[in-house]
Amino acid sequence: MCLVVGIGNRYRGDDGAGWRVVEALEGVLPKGMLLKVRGELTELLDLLQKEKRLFVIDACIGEGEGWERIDLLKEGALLNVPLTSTHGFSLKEAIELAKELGQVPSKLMLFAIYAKNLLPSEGLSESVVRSVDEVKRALLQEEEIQACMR
Amino acid sequence: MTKKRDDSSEREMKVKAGLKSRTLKVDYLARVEGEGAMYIKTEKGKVVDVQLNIFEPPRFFEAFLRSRELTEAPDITARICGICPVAYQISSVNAMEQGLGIELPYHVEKLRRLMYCGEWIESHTLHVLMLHAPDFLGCLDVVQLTKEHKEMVLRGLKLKKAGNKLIDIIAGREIHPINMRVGGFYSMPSKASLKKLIEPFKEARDYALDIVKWVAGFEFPHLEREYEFVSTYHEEEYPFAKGRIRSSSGLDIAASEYDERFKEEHVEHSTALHCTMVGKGAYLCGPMARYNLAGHLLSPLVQEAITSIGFEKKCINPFRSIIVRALEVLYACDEALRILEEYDWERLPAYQPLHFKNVVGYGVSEAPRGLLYHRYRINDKGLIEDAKIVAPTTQNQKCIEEDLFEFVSANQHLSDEELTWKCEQAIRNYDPCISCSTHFLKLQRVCG
Repeated sequence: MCLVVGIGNRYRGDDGAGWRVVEALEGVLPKGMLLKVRGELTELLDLLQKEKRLFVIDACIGEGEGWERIDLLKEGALLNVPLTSTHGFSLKEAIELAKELGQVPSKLMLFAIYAKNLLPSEGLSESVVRSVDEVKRALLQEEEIQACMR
Repeated sequence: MTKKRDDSSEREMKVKAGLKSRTLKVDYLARVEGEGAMYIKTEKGKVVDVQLNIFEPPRFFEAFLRSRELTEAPDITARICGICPVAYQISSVNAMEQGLGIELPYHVEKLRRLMYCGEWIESHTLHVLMLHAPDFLGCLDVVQLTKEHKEMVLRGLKLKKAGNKLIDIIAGREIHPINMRVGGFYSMPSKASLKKLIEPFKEARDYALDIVKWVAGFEFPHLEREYEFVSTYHEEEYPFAKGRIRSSSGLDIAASEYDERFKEEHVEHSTALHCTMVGKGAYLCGPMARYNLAGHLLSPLVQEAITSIGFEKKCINPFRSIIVRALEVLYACDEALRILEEYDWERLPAYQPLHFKNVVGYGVSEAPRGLLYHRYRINDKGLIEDAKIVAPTTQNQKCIEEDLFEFVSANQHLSDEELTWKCEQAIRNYDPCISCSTHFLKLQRVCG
């Protein structure tokens, strides 16, 4: 089994991107494969500890456009992950901590969507809406996810 | 202490040494909740001004509470903070219930206290382990801390989870709980679900004691001040969710007198309000205030821990507040266990009916960071006409500035880098909770 996790806060503009991807997959993937979280540290650590294969979608801040697919278990991957956090501790910190604690899954793929607006507000920027759709399609191409759908 | 810092700022300082004005920037101070900047001015080697500038964007909670039903207040105000929503809920229901003349039955009062224990455990553990301990051990963050103190971090995470679980069971979810209502709760949790927590909480209490002993062994910078401590006080129990407001200089008032004795004022350098106590000035609320005013009400187990670590009965070094927080976690575990063992109230009424009237209600409770005051004017249709909320960080802000002034004055010999580190640490003594988003601190030191 694998889990698709959207992290974010729908009331902070594009930070709602992760949730929007998960919502777009509702009805396409089994309910048990989808999860929306706020990004609370122990919640993330629990996920990293319990789940074997994780596909995580989170908004990020950086110079880039669109979105990126990043294998977080690849050596050095975290150095270049453009994640910050509106959730207190970021996913990056949670993963670093999980690694130190020896609690990492066998697969940990991040779909980082470049945010344009993280101010308190509802709704996504135009480019983020496009990214949400592209990330949804990309996720459905993932081998493990396809296997779970069969 | 500074060995693990990037040395780029040090290099920059050497280049600038000797100039009249120096500017240091620390981007993304990752262990303060919120956005702030600090300005320090010295003339002829003396500190003449210290300003902690908090950029707290207006959130308009008090404004949009107007015309809402008073029953909505606990759920709306819980949204003010993801770390201490229970505090906001309890201060709001305390205010409404005081106004409406509702006396809570024993079982509801205890269940609220139990819920508050969960929040203190969550919040204090996060601060002690993840945010503050790295300062004392020369680590940049909890990841570095984990490399050297993995077992303690694991204990902290288990403790935090215990707190989370408690709130989840009582209130439906870990963050922004939803079960509390004016007059009681929407439903009483089942006895079975709470009894399951007894064993994990025994374990959590042991972990909490380990953490007390661990933090008591840290080295603490020297700073001692005679503070005006302010907290709630009730003769029967350590401050949580009921009682009057007391201070170390003898103030003893009901929540309804708060506005007469405490003032909020605008200051030029900050968008946040500063609080003062009339006739006294800055005051300190939070763990140190509770400990100094009501430490004798801590349980025998905690008193034993205090003796075993040789901790002072009167604590006036703010850097040692980390020990007080750890003691409060131990107390919260111990108190939670007492209530969990007693809990047999699932069939008792969860709430009392409300009879609306035109009235002003006042409520206080002890958020992890200190006194949280709510005032509502409500009408006979059950609507809120006016609201005022004063958070602990607002109340402590002036005190933080005074700490910084004292500390910088006494530590001019330190390098900018070392001083910056210590000043950040001094700010973190208060576990300031400014917002739940980006973290940012700039230090600007101007030498005349």
